[in-house]
Amino acid sequence: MNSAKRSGPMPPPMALWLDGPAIAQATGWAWKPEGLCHGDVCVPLPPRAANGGYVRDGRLNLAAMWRRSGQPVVHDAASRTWVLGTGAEQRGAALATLKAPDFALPDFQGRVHQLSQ
Amino acid sequence: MPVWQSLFDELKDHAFTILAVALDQADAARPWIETAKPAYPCLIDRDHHLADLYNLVNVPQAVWIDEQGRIVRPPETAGSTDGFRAMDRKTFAVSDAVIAERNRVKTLYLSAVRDWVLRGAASVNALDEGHAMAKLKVPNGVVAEAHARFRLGQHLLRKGRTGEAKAQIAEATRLHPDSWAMWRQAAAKNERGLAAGPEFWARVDALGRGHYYAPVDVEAPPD
Repeated sequence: MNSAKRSGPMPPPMALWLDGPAIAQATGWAWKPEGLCHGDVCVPLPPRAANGGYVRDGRLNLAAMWRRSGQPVVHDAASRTWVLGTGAEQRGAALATLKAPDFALPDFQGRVHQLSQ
Repeated sequence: MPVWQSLFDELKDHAFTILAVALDQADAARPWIETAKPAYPCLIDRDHHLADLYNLVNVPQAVWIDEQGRIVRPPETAGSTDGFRAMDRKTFAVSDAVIAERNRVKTLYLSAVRDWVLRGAASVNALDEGHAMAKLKVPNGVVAEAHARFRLGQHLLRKGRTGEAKAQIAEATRLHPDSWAMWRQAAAKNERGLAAGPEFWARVDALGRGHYYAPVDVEAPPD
């Protein structure tokens, strides 16, 4: 799960403003000039991103970008805890390779087991 | 369950293992695991990460994965039937015919697994790429949002924000009504920890002719 907890003034609803390092820490994605990137995949910023509510004061509206990439974004009532979900297209594409998606889960004694191992 | 332990004991020397995953909290799964004492890994997936990855909706469902990490059979009902719907809801009795059919289907499914473990790709139930793709069900955007809300709800539950958590899980269930796994997490539990009360039966009855468990779709392997 990609999650981010924010502190400071409450943002407007459905906006999650984070700087580059915070984005990387929360999601593993990198905010680059070409957009929001993960490995070889980049989701480009829309034209006039600053005017469109995507970029402000050195921060990116991660929620807007996440939704722009077709992935779900939900948050608690206080907009302090967010879940950046994985989109259906990404899930479907992974399954359609017929390569079993890897995962790591604990047993009830806390030992983590990974499918690929 | 004993049947899976027996199968594991029989086939473990053929490069076979079972990875059981409880779509549940550790405390809820613990009594069942401690009673069964399985020799194969039993994992806890409280946030239903596996359900999100593999588009699972109920338990028990199984995925067959070969040594190369390829999905041989996409998620499917792991040998269970809708026979429980004929149960007398006061006495919990089921007819001999229902029991016999339940046992027949379970035995059939286990024999299919056995045959695949022993014969590999030559097994009649080992699906080639085309047939595996045809059986594969992929999620849509609404289901993806449901999983995000479910994970948020589970997080809020752990933080003690029960009311808000239940609202998120309720919304997740509304978005993804096919997921009994999600619904079950917020449903009232009986003394055995099962979501098997009037709410459950009402939801089952609402299926009408629809299936609670998709019918098991394997062929009887040759002798």
